Amino acid sequence: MNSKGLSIAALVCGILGIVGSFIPVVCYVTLVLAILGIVFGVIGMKKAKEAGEGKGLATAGLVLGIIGTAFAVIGIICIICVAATANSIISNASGLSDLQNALSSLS
Amino acid sequence: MFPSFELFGKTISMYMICAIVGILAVLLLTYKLAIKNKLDEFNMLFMMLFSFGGVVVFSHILYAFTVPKMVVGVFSNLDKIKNFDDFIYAFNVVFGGSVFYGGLIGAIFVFFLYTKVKKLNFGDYSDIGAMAIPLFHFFGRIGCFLSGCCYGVEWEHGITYHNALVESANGVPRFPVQLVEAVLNLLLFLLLFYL
Repeated sequence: MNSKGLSIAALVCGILGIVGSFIPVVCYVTLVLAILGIVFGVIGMKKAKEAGEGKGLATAGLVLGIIGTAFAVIGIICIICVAATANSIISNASGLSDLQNALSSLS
Repeated sequence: MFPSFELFGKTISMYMICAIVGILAVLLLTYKLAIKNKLDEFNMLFMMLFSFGGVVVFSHILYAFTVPKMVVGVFSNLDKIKNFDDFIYAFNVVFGGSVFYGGLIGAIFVFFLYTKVKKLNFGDYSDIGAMAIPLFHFFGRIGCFLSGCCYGVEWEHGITYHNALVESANGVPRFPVQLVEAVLNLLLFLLLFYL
């Protein structure tokens, strides 16, 4: 695929990645598209440079792919807070017996 | 502060926005510096992107090492996992949290692995990659300040949160340690950049 095709593919995947992140269930599929947008974007930029063409579309696809992936993957609070909160819950609970009871009640 | 806003029914957190800005800033910086230092800028981009993936994966993997009783509990009760929902619950128990050092180790490991697979000079690329950590952390800490997480101790001259995402931060004037850390990260980045 030439640089123009890759750039357009990156842009489309990136846009779908962002739009899909707002839709439940669909967001899991569009996360894959967003990641593909990133990959196509970088390869598109490389091929555009080799062909002496403009990198704008590919760069846009890369940026939109990153935003779409981040929308799906990055949570509401930072990982340090998540770890601190999770650890405090676990250290305060009786742990294994709670887990066993919880797993027993699921089935 | 201003932890999040709603957009078409989805909660967009300021931490996420700051993280996105941080990722884009890091990629732009490393891309430009790779060109300036006559390195392959596209390999640099891929290295940074894979490293971000390493952060996500390894931060969750290291979390499992901090909850060994839960890991043993899940594996001892595998027969109780009957459907997909049960599996997701058990998966979250083992890998649902994140540890900062896991992310850092993961990023460095993936970065190193990429240079070995692609037969690149680790030292040349890591000189640029090392600047990325404090730069990204600067934006991350701004996000923490806006969200009201990773808050400081009580301080009479501090900032009082009312809508922090971490409930325990609210109603008490707190030392803005996130801003102090952000400034120190920025200074560290500038030091590394000009060295």
